Amino acid sequence: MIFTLLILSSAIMAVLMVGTGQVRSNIIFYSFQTLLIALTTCVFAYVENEHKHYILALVIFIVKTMGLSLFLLWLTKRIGTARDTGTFLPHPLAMHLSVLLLIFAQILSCQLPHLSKLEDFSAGGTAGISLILTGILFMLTRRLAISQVLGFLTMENGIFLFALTQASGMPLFVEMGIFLDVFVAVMISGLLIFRIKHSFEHIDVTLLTSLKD
Amino acid sequence: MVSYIVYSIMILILPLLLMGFLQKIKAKLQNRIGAPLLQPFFNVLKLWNKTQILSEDASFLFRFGILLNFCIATYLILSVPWLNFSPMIMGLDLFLLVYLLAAARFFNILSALDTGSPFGAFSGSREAALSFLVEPSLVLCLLAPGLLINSNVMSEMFAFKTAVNSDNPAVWIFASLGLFITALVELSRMPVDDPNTHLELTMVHEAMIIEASGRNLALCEYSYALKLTLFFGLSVQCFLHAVSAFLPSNEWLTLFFSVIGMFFLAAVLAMLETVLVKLKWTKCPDFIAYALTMGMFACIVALRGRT
Amino acid sequence: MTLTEIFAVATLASITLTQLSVFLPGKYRLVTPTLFCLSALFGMAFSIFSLSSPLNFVLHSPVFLGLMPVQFASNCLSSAFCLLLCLLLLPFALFSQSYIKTKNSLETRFFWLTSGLFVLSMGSVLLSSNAILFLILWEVMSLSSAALVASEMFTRNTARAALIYLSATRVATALIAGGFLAAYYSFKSWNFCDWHFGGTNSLLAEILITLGCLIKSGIWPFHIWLPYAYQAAPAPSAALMSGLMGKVPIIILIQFFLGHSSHSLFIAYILIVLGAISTLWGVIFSLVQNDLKKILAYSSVENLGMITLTLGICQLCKHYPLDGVASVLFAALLFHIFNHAIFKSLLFLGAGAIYKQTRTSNINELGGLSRNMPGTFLFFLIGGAALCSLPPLNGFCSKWLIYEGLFKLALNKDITLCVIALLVILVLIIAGALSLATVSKTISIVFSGRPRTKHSGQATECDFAINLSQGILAVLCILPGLFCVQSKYLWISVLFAIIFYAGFLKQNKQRKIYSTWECGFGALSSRMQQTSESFSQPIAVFFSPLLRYKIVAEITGKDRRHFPERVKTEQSTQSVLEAKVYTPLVVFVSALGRHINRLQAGSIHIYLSYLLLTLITLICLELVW
Repeated sequence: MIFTLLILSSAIMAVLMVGTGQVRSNIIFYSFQTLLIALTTCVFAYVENEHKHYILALVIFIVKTMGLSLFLLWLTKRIGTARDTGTFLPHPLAMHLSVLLLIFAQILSCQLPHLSKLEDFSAGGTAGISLILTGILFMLTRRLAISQVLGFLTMENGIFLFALTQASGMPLFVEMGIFLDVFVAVMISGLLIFRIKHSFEHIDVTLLTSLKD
Repeated sequence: MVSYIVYSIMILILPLLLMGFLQKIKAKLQNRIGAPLLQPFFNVLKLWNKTQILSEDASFLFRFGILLNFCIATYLILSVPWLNFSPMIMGLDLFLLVYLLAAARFFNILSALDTGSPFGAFSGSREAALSFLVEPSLVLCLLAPGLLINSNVMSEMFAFKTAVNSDNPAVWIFASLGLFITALVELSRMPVDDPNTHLELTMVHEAMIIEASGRNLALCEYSYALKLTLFFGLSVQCFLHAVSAFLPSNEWLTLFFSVIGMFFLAAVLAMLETVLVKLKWTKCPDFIAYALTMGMFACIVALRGRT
Repeated sequence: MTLTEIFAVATLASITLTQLSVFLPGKYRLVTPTLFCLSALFGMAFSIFSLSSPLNFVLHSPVFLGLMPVQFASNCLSSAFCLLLCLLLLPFALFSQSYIKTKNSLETRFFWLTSGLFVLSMGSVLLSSNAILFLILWEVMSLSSAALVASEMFTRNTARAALIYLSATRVATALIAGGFLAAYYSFKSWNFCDWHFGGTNSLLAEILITLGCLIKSGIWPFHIWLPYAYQAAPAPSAALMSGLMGKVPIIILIQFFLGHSSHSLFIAYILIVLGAISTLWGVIFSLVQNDLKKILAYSSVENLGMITLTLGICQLCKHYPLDGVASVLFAALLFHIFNHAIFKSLLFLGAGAIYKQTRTSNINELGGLSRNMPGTFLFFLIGGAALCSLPPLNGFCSKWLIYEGLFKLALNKDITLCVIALLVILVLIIAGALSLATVSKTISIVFSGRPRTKHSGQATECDFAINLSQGILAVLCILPGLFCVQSKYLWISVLFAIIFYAGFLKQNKQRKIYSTWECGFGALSSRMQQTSESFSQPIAVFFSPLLRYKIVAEITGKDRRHFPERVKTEQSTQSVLEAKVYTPLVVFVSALGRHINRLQAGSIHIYLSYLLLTLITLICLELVW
């Protein structure tokens, strides 16, 4: 039960993240979401009695919950963007849409085959699919490059959660490799955002269409 | 019998006491001494004996609207289970509750616009816009417990009789959070409206009663306090249902926790009003949307438990 | 001859007499309304008796309609509808004799003739028991109502509205006739009692009939004609059209689709989706209108949408056998049809009274009428409160039943049904909140504050007959609420408020009359009051893509920011449907018409070549097969 609670709370954090245009709040919601995922991994390790997952949880906590969030917070402060005005869909409507996506994920995950040894297998699938969909929706409805990074990170969380609960996780080295990739990707994109801001005076990706020629 | 007496005493004392407590805490947080705890009682008494000034353009609707508003608030406080006792008037269901609140709002708006004052009219139109945003979330937050209990009668919904299922606390928690946000909007508290200013760009509720004075104003203040009690009480009851597995089954202890919870919410509100700034009017929908999301979560979890 | 038949004949006779009495000279002008009331009373007696002993009447030769005889049969539903019709005719006649009085005699006669025909055809269209007779009566109803729309053509420009309305009814009739043909091919009978819809073979007929009925009752996206027609029609006829004629297609749908054992899911979903959209659409558009009758017309779209939605859900419940829920919803549906007819007629009559006294129905030119027309104010307030379904009035009773049915549906095991029920509850709640905004805007702009123009300042209370007709309807609005169990305490609290109010009146010493607070700026003028546009602005901004809502502000002056000399703002709204769909459609059709017109060149040689071409084509076709 506590497993379901944690895992669904992380999906809920992602939904709540969609609802606000404040980049700072978005990052804080993201870090709560990864914190919950780290806790889920701990509980998972306890239930499955696999010690490698404890290490995984610790790495998630250090890299994603603390490292990436703090880096992104610093970045927003540095480039001085506080608010994402959004694209075609207003933020509140996008949030309600992502609640509907959560229902959709629930229906979808009920049809998945039993793979995990956990009783309450469907919640993991629900949260995983919902995180992936919510991440895409987040990227769709945002204008700033930094929000695109956040949406991408949310999707990555979803894939991790799905793999963890549906296939009992990947080998430790693969996971570690992915973490390293994500870490490097965020660092590089942070650098890029910084450069884009420097040369274009904004980080609005919808305005980058003028570069297509 | 004893519970009826206690309930009546609570109805008489608690609304204004909560208001006084709220103001006191807020003053303390802002390093002021603040008015005494019983100041709202004094205010109402004083206003009751003052001369009332009426606009020359007002029709009978102005004062009748305020009165009807007060009567509806009284009716609601008598029939909604905002404490753990069963209310005095039984059988109120949630749609009637929502539409009674709508009726109160209707007459509020009409009496605000009745004098032809641009201030009242301005806030009246804002109140209408807020109500259309907040009513869906109120309904969803109350529907979710209804779906759990299979009943939409308020006194049955809030009767501590749910079988503790693994999902139930989540439903009640979401409902409680949603109701609290809804209460902030309905009572026009801080992130949406600042109750302390009388600046025309910010106000909703204060401008609606700008023409009221004397007894009319006393009635307005008192019905506002009643509504505050109602919403805080409902929110606290939802929370108590969520943790009902850990609560002792003693009725009086639960009553104690309910009252403490309401004062706690008032303190939370005071803190929020000290810390937060008022949202720009066009940003309010973004905030209110969270109430609807909470209601949707509550309903989803309630439906999930059914399959 | 049974009592039912006697009263049917009496009703028919008195209606005929009414029609004849129109031609009496001017000094007998009270005869026509009196006869009208008399026929309404006969009609009431007829419908009450036909509830217990249904009418079953066949007129054999020499009157024969080609395929079928003239044949009438009543059931409980049609009898109840006739009762409602006759109930509304009393206030209608009372109101009209005073409303039409000031007009020239030709217009008066035209009005009474067409409205008699309209009422008669509306009553009998539901009693007809075969398709041919039905179509004839339906046509009479459509044409007479179009004539009613155009009946103020001598004083106002109503031709466009009448044309739009006529074209909509044409399409509706064509669809229904097509549906009847399809039904004839499936069931091999013109008689309604042989038609059993719901199977797979009759889906085409069902769709055509449903579409025709939806056009006639003005459901989204076919509601375009409705605001034009109701605005142009004189207020009492608009009351009849909105209160009753819009419901006739719904009753027909109920009779065709709800009574049988099997139910088509497809039709149910069409009804639910279109009903839900038109509920929201109607109320959003009614919020931004400035014309009193247009506000009411769009709110009719909303209420008819709600009725259609309930009908769809009812059909859905019957498909999954959930008979308990279906019967609650069915009761709610009928009750709401009844209630909507009452309060919408009351509001239209109120709008008519205001129009009669001020010669305008633009609410931005009104204001302050609560002092000049207190009776109309009170009745309009009751009607408005019923319209936004405030407890304890009748609008709430039926809406509460709808919610109750939906809640029961949400308790179902099937998740899909639960989600549908919750979504529909949300739609209804949002529509309710928006209609509250609409009604409070309308009432406060029209009746509160100060008069905005000379017309409304000099208006006087209308005569007794008009107030009486509104009073009857207002009492009918209050009555159902009195019998609800829950509202007992509510009435006590309303009573309490009234007593309190009366108690307050005594203490005149403690009151001072002073001007409205103006912020120390100087005296308020009536131009400083809120307008209809400014009230609806905060909500209209939300729906700006649907409404194509625009605010154009023009500020001039040396220091525009701090000391503007002139500020001019203008708001415009336009239906996205009308702009993006219907206007291009009309342009396309007329362009197509021009091209087709080219075929008819007027030269005999070209016609001969058409003939030749047709012959050759036919022969070729014959050879191929």
